[in-house]
Amino acid sequence: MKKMFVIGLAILMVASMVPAAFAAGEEKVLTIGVDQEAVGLDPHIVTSFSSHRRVDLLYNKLVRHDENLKIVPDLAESWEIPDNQTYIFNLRKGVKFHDGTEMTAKDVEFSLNRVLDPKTASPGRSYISTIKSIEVLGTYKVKVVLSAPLASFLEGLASNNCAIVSKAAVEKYGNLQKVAVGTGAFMLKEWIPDNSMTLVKNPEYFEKGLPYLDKIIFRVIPEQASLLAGIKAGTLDMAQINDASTVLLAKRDTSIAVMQKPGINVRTFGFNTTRKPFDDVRVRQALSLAIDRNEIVTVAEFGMAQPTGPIPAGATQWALPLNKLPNFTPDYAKAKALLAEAGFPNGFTFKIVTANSFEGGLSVAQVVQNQLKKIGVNAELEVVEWGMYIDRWVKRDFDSMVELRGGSGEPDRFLYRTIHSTGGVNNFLFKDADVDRLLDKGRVLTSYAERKPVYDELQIVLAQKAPIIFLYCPFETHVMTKQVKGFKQVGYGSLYYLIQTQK
Amino acid sequence: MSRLLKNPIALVGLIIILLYVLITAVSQFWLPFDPLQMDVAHIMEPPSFKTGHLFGTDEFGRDILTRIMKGAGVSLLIAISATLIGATIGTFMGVWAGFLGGAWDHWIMRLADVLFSFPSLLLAIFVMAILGEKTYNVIIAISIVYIPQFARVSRGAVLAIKNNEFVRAAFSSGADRRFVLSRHLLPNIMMPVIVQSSLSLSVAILLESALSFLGLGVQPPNPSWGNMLSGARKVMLLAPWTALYPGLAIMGLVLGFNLLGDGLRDILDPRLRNIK
Repeated sequence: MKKMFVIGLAILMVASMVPAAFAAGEEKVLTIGVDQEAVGLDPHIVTSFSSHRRVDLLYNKLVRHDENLKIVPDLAESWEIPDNQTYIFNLRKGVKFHDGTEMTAKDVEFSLNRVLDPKTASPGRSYISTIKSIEVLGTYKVKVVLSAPLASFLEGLASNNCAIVSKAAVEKYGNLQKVAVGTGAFMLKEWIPDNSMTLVKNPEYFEKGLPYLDKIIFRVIPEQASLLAGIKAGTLDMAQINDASTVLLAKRDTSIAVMQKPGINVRTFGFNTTRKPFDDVRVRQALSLAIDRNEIVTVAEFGMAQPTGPIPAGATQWALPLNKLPNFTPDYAKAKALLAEAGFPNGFTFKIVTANSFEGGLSVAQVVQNQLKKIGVNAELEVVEWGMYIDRWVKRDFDSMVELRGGSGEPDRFLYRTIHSTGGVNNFLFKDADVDRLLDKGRVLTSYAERKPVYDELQIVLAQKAPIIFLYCPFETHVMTKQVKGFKQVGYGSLYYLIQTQK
Repeated sequence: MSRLLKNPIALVGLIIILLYVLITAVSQFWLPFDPLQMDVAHIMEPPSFKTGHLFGTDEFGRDILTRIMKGAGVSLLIAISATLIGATIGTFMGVWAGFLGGAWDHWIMRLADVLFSFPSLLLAIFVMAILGEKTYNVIIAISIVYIPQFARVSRGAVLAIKNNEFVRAAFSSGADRRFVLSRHLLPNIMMPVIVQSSLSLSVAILLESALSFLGLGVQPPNPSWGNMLSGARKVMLLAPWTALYPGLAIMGLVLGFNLLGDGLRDILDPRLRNIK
């Protein structure tokens, strides 16, 4: 009996050691499900959301956003702004690219010049196009001079499209779409297109002790419901989920964690302001007065969104409360009176272009259609396939369109390109002297105190002229297993904080 | 007709179809709720007597029973008109090909073979993509799918009887082609065409639902069983009734047409009739 007890004890002791021994050598692998394959990896060239999420981990910028969308140091340890057109960046010392070479001021100069070169066709070019000269002042010091003050300059540099790449690597490979030579916390190990991408820890990452994970595997799973199923089954650790009903299902499951935060992307219902009757401001105002944002959020997003004005509501230091914006509170009598004044006492018929996807906002269009009936306006839905949707968007071939726009916490970044008469994505073909004047003024002022009144006025003018009806900002939702700890959301889907994530 | 009543399978099919026709007729005058009116306060409510939403509400708070009733009319209209058009044109072509033979036969049937070589849903999607998403275009698309099927059936039937004695007798007693066609051939090939029509109606219901499900058929917010299922797909796990009832509606009507078709074949096929 005693002998058996001793043997039993011995077995127990050995058994208890086994997991500990395994744990010490075990690789910490995080598998993340994504609904789209990356289109390429070159940080200066990529536009797709899916590519940006990989760049988040592979590259660094001079400055970056923290979880409150504030600008914080990244590769630039500190910076000085001697006058509002000159920026001097002091770089971190001893930062290594994935190929082992050191990152210096030469790479910064090369990267910014590459973004500025029209031949690169970088989306980042418009963010920093006011750069006049870039001067290397030492191995770790760069001076950038602007041709005019640009309030959103640091915001621009915080974009992935202005990431710092290795000069030597670009000269060797031509472009970086298929390879990754960055300074990021993770390095590209294997990429099987349309299936998976494996990133491994960068042992020489400049923040000591980080990252905690040894490996991140991206798995492409196009269906939102399958992403959730993967997390439930434990084959995935984490995923970003956009579809509200899937999020609702995830929330019902107590065994998984759901992180949510109002994002900065903006759902808009915009008009082609050169088409009749939308060239008449009274018609646009009437439609704006018929829209009930809270109802749209309840129905189309199951309440998981925040109604917003022209500046994403999450950017609290800029955004005006909605009750301060004209035409934002439903008023059907006034809307009908405006329509009658514009010559449509019995309403009119027009078309809304939409697609049956999260971005295409079919359910939003259906609620809008229903709301407009209250003022006698008949909206017909044109539900088109995604490729056709993009095509119509590019050609500006629509009466009106429901969209999901990539926003920004910085008003100049978001509104200049969206609504300035020369803006790159002003698909509304909207031209207005007041709006242009305010946008031009806001971008050359640098202090918050000076800019705030300008953007306050701009928000009111935009609400009055209503070329776009700003609806809401969908929540950014990450769903993960309970073992995943330490992740933080930024507000535009960034996976940067995976470097601080543990599993 | 009395034979139809004596055949239990056909009778059940007929009753099911009449039930749907009745629902459609009622829906023209009365509906429990407004099929298009959204009700934000009652999104995805489960079926209940208390609220009056017997089949529950969908993701926009619309009454599902109302939308199914409204959708029944759309489905029946599309299925019946598409089958009628397809059967008329197809039978005409098939009879022509079979009766005249030669080059006519060759070219008409090769054209039918070309259409036949596409899977029917693919062909319907192709036609819809060209014509655009309108309800009457769904009718045209399904008719085009049906034309070769009816052409084959009727051609075969014509070939089988055109050398029979009674046809020859008609010709030799001086009847012209038109007379023989209308008096002797058409009545004799109606049986397979009717059976084919009944089975085609059920496939048409499925085709219409599939097209609407894919966003190519009836456009939202107008209800059709297919686009109701498409909307329900996203919330199916949260509110199963949004998918269950439109699905059952499709199943019921398809079953009705299939049972009727099977029953009719048993009744009309002389070979089967004599087995008893």
